[in-house]
Amino acid sequence: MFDFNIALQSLIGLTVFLTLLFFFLLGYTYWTRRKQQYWKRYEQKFRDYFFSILLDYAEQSGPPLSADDIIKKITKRTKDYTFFINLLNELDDILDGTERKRLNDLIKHPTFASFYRDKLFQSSTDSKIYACIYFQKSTHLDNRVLAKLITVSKSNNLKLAFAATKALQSAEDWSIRKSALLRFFKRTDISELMVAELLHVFDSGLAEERGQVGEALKDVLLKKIDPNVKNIIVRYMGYQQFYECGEFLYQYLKRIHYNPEKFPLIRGLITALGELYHTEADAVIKSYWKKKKSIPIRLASIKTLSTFGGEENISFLLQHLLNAEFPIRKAIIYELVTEEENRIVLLTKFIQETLRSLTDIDIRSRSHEQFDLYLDKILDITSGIKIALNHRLNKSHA
Amino acid sequence: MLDSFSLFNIVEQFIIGYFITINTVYLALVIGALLYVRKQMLHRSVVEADALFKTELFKSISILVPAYNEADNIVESVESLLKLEYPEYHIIVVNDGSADDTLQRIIDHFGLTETDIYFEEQIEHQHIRGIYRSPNTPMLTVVDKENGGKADALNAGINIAETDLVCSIDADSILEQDVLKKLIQTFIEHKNTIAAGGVVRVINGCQIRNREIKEIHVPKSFWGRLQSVEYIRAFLFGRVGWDYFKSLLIVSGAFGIFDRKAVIKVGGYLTDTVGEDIELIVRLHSYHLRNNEDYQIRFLPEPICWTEVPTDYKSLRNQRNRWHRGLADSLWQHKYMLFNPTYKHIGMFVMPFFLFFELLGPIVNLLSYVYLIIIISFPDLFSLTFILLFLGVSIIYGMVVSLIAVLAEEVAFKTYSSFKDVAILSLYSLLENIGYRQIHSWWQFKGLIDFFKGKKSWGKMIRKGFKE
Repeated sequence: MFDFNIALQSLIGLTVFLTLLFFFLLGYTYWTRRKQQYWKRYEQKFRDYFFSILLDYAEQSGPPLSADDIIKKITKRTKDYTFFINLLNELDDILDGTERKRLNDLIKHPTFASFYRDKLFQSSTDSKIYACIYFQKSTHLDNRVLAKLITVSKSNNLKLAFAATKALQSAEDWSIRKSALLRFFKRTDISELMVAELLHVFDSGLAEERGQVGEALKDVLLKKIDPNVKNIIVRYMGYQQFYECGEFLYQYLKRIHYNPEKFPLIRGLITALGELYHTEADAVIKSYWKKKKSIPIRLASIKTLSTFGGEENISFLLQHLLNAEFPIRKAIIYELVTEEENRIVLLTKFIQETLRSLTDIDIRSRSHEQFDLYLDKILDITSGIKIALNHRLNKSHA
Repeated sequence: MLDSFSLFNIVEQFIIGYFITINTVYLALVIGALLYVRKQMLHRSVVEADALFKTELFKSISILVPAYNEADNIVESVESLLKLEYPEYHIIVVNDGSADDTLQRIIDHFGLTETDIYFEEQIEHQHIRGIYRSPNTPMLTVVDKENGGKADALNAGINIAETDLVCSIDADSILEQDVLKKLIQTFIEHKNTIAAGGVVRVINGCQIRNREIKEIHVPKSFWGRLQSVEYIRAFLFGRVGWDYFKSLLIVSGAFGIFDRKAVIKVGGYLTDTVGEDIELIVRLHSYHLRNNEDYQIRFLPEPICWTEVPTDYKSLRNQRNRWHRGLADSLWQHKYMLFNPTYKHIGMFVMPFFLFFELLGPIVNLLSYVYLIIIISFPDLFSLTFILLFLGVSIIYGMVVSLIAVLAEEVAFKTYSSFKDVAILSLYSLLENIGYRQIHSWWQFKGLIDFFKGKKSWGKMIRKGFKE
């Protein structure tokens, strides 16, 4: 049987723990919520005070204040600097032209730079992350900061490494930016969302940098990195219309080794080539269609071949209409019906020929089931065409 | 032969062992979940969710809204769904043969006209009477079909959907505007995800304006408050904990996102059950484990879906009775998985846990109380030691677990708007263990009996609706 003393002690122990827990919960809730409210109010006051000052400074409309005068008004609290930088970023989104430039100069002010430089060299991870976020925006990276950021970008802490890699994208030296990007992409613990975000930071969108960005991305694609990361890069190139990379992507698709793991990459390449309108790729795409039975690859091929257009490509799609699975059949019908008018003519011709061929089929050589199946398919295709045509009509009416 | 003394001894040890095990498992789930949530939140603050929209990484989603006699709120529901933050999604309302004017109201409001959709019927469902669309609201499709129940309506929606992912919701739930943005990330980051659920929370007591939650408070009713604690402990941290151990068996019918192909592959929702949500998840596990296919079923801890909980005794009783029948049915349908190594940890650990602790737990619970009454009533059998231990491991330990769940909620989310709400929840997490859990066990026990009797009805539920 159970021991009475142990039972009593357990009950008392649990009750005491429960009581302590109850009061701890109430105390914790009360304290953290009070603290949160205090900082909320403080931030509001801070914003109210500095918002008009900063706006006047950017627009040069109020009493003349220098950057130093404004900085002096901020206390040395870490939160103040964070609130101030956040406010600057918000204004940065609203303003443009010379006003935005003045604000950006304020972000680069030596007071901030030295404050965050100190943070970067502290041991706390949070301090380093704050510093990385600042340097990503400030573009004020001296050699010491650069060296430290490179070290931090190699950290085992993914969050920290990601923040540092983004900060390094502010470096003026192109090779530093590129190698930081590559170093991060070589990691095995990154997520695709990180890849997408980093690509956006890497590609500033400036016309004069576009060529360099394209070349760098091509280089990265040639390195030994995860095919899923490569897929994101390829899709980025297509979506952002890096037309100058079309030939490279085409050659890449031609040479890619068949491997189910690379299916998403193949699909990404086919999609990108469609977006880049690299029509030379049609033959390779068709060869992939025949070689691989992956539905996603064929769906991407339908879209791309339809974008390329031309009678040869459309006829190719038509050839596969009858024997394809439903999703493929549907995609082909919609590409043919809802796009250019001459495709409908080709489709009608195809249906007429198919119906005509029915008379040539030797019914005796096929079982009833086979014949019924064949008829069902034709019926299904015609009903698909009818529905797609209705949609086209409704769209044009709308 | 066992003498009576050692028989009592074994019974008492079994009862104490049972309560220690179940409460310890829940404590482990809550603590594991809290650590996991903290890690997730830290990770989230580094990656900007918007990045995925700039690279067309997102997948398109169809939101399936089964509607049966929802005339009073269907238009508002759809209007609120049309405001979600996501670049490409569709809403498919399936009118499941409503007896009221649900269909007419939605047709009139959105100016819909009858149309056709080219789709393949891959899962069986009741006959579709008509499909409606409008060029002015191209993302909305309304399907009118003969009555076949919620699962049947969802199956029709899955057939019609053209997207990779489908999201099933209840017509009377309110979704957070960024719900799709939050949930889609798991499908992008983990390519093998076939289903994902999110936190469903209690809307009673919250301040709502234009179907948006403005302030979050605990419900005003006694039953509502008890359920709030229960939702935090079992449905929030419990499920996050199961997710942490890659053992999630339930994605709530009120909100879940599924890989359409995976659902079709296993034959869609089962129509002949009252627990179609849990049954589908068990079937997905079964199919993928049997075929050795790589997959994940996830649960995300972010509050994304708000639902009204029953506030009267009868409705709550009926709901819990139905849930328990649903669990029993799902375990019965897939009994071959139990202790079958083919189904790995799901068959060897999770299903047995659900069988012994969730499904049969109410029997042990009730019998323990009967035993307690017996030993108190008969002086010869009276054992103060057992009574003290029983109080400790069943009631006090249960209170500790509930209170830690409330604390974890406060540490991780701070969902409730005021200190008063948390104080109320703390008190109710103590109260929940004195009376509510015991009654709950009784409802579940009745549910188990009704399951054996073959009862398949949903039971009557009174809903008050959202007061703005």
